Amino acid sequence: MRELVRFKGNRDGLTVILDPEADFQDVLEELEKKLEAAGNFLEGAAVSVDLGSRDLQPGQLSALEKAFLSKNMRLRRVMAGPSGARGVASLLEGSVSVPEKAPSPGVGDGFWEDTDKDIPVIQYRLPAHRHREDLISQEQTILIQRTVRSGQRIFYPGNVVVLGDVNPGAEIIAGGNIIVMGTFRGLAHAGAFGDENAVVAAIRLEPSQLRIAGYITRAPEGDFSSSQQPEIARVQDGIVIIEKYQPGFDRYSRGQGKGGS
Amino acid sequence: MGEVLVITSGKGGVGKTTTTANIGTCLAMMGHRVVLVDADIGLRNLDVVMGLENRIVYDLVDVAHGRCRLRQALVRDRRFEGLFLLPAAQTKDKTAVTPEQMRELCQELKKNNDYVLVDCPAGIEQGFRNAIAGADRAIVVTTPEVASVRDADRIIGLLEASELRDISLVINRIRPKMVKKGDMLDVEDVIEHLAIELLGIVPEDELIIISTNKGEPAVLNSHSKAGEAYRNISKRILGEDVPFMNLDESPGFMSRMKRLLGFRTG
Repeated sequence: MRELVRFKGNRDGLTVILDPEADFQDVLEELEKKLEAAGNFLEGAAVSVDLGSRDLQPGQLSALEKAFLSKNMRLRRVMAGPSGARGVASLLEGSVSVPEKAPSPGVGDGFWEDTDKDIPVIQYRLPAHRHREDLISQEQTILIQRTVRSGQRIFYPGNVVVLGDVNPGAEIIAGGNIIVMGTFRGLAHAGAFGDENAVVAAIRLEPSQLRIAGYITRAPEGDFSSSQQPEIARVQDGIVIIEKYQPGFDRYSRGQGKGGS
Repeated sequence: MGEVLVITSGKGGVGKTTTTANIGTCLAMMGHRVVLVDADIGLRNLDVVMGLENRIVYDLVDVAHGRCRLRQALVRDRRFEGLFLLPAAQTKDKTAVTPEQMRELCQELKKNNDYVLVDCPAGIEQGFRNAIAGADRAIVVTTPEVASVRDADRIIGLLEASELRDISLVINRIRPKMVKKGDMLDVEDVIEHLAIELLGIVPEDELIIISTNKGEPAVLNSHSKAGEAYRNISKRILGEDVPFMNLDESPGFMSRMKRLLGFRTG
């Protein structure tokens, strides 16, 4: 079944895809519901909206903008397929603009972000339908091949794999799982859309705060010696547990007397 | 064609200006043509540390706005032929120049000098953006404190985001005794955390305070441990392979006696 509103992450950040055929009011309600469900972790994000072939009517664009603003999010740009763009463009007084300089992959730094208030409309020509279907899967994974530093925020609706460290002050937020081939000292939020089966694994797992779906835990106060081995965090019986990572860990055999031994 | 190095840290008070003054003086001492640029507009210090305060006529903002020629604004050092200071304006603020103007300025300075050292203000706002605009290399200064390391990490992230890839680290104000007792982060901790190349380590040194107050950079003082560290750093900037300083205190009476008697002291 097609969803009315879908979230997709790519190198430009977060894109919200609206079903082009459904009634706008239904789509808007669904969007508000989804934003509500996401809680405040999307706060401050700049989003793109993909309209597909939809023609926006006067007032609808500002309704979308308002929905995002109520969550402190910013509508960064509007993308539309061949037939849609003209409609939107006319709403914005004929200002079809070209994409701005692409930000660095997957990193929401916020620092160099332009504070331009105009919302550019980008028209794509790809066989739009197929192109977007491919990108949607929640099972998608992004690979970050560097150290994620303080102040940097990685948001991705699928899985996130980091080849490097995640330092204190950095945030990794994933719709799926988070795996760090290095030391994790920042903030992790796995299963950000509510998936309680999501896990966080790292060679050294020392996060300042760890969230899985709606559960929040933090590092114990004071000095504690972390175990010198790879660990994995997941939700079990309503609490977040951290245990030794065991190769071959299978989430479906959970609760059958394994885990730590 | 010279090279532009920006000295930055994020946090204030970790020794950016002292580091700029000492590396610059040392490079000039070794015969290179060096310009020190004070990018801390509104809170200039580099001129005081260099002891050139009362020679300033024009400043960086005057040059950027075309009120004077670049050569007129450069203050020649009284000790070394090839050492110049481009002072910051004290009566303006960071918004008085733009990153583009700074980039042009650095390009211009590079033509006639071997090294251009830019002393960056604390923070990550426009002053920082101005300072890094024209840089080819960055030197990040940190002290072995958690807050300072955290800020350095942030700065490194911002430098990388602005395509500045040649970044090296100076760890300043290390107290070997505290490190030994486990009360201070040691060099390995900091390196492991920041994961960038180490350019040098500088021990805490009271002589630095005296030298900054007098306007005589510590590299000119052969008794200063910090001065020695900065001399090593300058050599590494030139590409020499200098071993890192042994920060242990000079051996005590007993170990000297043991050595005289032929014991191994390790």
